[in-house]
Amino acid sequence: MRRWYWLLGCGTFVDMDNGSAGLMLATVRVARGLTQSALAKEAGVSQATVSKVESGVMSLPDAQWDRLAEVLDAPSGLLSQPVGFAGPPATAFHRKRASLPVSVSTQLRARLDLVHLQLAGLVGDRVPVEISRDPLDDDGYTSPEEVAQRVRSALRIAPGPIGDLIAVIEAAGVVVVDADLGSVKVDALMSWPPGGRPVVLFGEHAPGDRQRFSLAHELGHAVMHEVPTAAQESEADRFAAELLMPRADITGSLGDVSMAALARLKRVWGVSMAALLRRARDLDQISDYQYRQGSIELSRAGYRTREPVEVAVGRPRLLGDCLAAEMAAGVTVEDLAAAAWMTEPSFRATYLQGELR
Amino acid sequence: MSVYSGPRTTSPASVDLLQDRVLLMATDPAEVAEIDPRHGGLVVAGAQAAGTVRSLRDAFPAMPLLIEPESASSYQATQDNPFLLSADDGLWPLTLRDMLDGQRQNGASLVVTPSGQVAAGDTPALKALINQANQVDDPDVLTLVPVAGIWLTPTHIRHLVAILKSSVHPVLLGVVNSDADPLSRQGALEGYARLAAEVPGLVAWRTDLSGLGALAHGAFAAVIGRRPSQRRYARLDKGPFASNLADKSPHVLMPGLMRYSRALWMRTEWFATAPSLTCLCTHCSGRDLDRFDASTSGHASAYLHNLAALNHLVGECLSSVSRRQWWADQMREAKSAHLELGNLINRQVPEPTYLERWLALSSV
Repeated sequence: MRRWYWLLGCGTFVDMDNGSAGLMLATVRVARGLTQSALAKEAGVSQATVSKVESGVMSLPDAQWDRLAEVLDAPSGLLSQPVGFAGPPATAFHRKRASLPVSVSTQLRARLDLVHLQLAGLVGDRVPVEISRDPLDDDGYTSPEEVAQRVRSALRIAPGPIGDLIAVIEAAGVVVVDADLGSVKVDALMSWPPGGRPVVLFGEHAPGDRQRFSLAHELGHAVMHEVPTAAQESEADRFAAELLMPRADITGSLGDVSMAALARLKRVWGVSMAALLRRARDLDQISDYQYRQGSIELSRAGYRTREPVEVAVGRPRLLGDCLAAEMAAGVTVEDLAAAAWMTEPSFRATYLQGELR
Repeated sequence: MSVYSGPRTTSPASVDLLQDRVLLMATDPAEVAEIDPRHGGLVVAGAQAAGTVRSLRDAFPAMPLLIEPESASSYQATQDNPFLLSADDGLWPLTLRDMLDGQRQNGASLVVTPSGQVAAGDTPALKALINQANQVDDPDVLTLVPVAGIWLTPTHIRHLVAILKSSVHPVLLGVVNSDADPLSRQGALEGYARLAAEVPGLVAWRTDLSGLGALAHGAFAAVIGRRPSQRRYARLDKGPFASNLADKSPHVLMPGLMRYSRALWMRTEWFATAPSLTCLCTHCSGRDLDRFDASTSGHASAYLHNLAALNHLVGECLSSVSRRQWWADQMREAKSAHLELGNLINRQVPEPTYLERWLALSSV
């Protein structure tokens, strides 16, 4: 019996028993935002050929592989890698708005797959993963809030607000990469393949408070979720709320939800006024009526689109530190690019100019 | 019929005593003699509860009599101390077993844990409460769980169900809310019904007519408060809720409308220009429902009516072929009764929102 593999990032089936290297071609193509037709046209082959190669029912001569790699700005060796060479597939979770087009979502997941591959070569085992999966049980006995408390404890986070959230989660071995995600409708996405490390891509467009909540939300996915569930987004939000605003520490501060009080709390806790208002309701510090009134006031003041009080945007450092250490030890850019399965120009543009692009 | 089938398998005596009963909760139970011995009972609340039960025990040897610990109205449960264990002589702190023994010695039929209120989201306190009560392996223990109303909402209900299902004792579920009817919050009534259906041995505690709804949805028993303040728990930081502080007239159970209403409200808002509704319960025998005044005797008479009307409803519920269908019928008929009352007094009578919500949940 033939085994068919559903490629999450690309929305296609791949024949595992007959040329699974097509999977990598499909991943790189989708990550670059190209359709099969567009790639075929650029590479001088037919769309049917690309389709058959990606599905594993047809192979290509080396010259055509090289041409496809050139168009995709990838080392040709990458495209011929088999399924599983970058690790088992992982489910990608992303914090996004409902209106995010499926095509963008698919492209981002493919990009994340490639980032995992790149980081496997660049970071490897040099930084240990200090957090563990803590999946929610099927019957609901464990809550996302309890998992968040355990994560705070495991990472030795002091009670109260978290200062530099990115530093905290990078210290746990989670690689955070700030990136142009191509749409302001998606804030972040994350996946954690079995045996690998959690990687978060987050959009550089979001203000600091939203960035922090998105990162905490993605960390919640990393720890709690291995497969998608109907409640996963709500659970990740609850995890994020408890991680950033622990019940035991913040409850006493949430009795006053006037705009002035929320602005003061935002400065302290580094989360949005809207998130604080909701937290006050969820911790039973205000009634549903007060919550509705507060929400109306936020909207009336225009704070739904832009809140007062700037929260500093965090910057990841882990990957940059790893690269700096390698180069200080004499590793060349060419070597690093090869380790990341990237062309040298692409590697320089992506990782040596500060941001993944 | 709901049959308690929780993890415990060795508590037939206490379970048999409580199953399918609707108990009255009161501090000064003057009408105790009117409690139906077949499916009633009494929970005494307040500072004098132990003495009251002790004095009633001889006169009513077969009556299920419980003592409500004051902790649930005065203490916040914590992970370290989910129970309020007061020292008897100021030197030696009492244990949970000591506290329960005290209730037994005062004649309580079953014993209730001296639990504190569980705040919104305080999972560690809730789990500690259940786990520590589970350590007491006596068959007459009832675990009191007074939870903040938000626990019943869709976000938290699955978690609450899972934790309560880990209790080896029947769970007495009370709901804390100072702002309004605890079940009026979005999704809370539906959560209440879900708890009744999914938690074995659940007792709807300190409730109102929703206790019958819980019974219809699978609860093991119910405890309905004599006064409005005994039909919920008030938050420790807010105190009790009162819709109209100036109106001291008694709350009167109107079984046809499946609601309580103040007698003065009825007289001034509904029956000022129309004849009052009458009641055929054993206490009223056809007299007007709005006749009760704010005097002590007026309140006492209203309580007797409330108890008689409640006894009638409980008897119907327990003898029905399908309790859920019976409850749905009550809700449907109460909705119609509101329309009829509106026609009678020539103005619209808004129905409580719980009628439609219970009806939607209960229609078979």
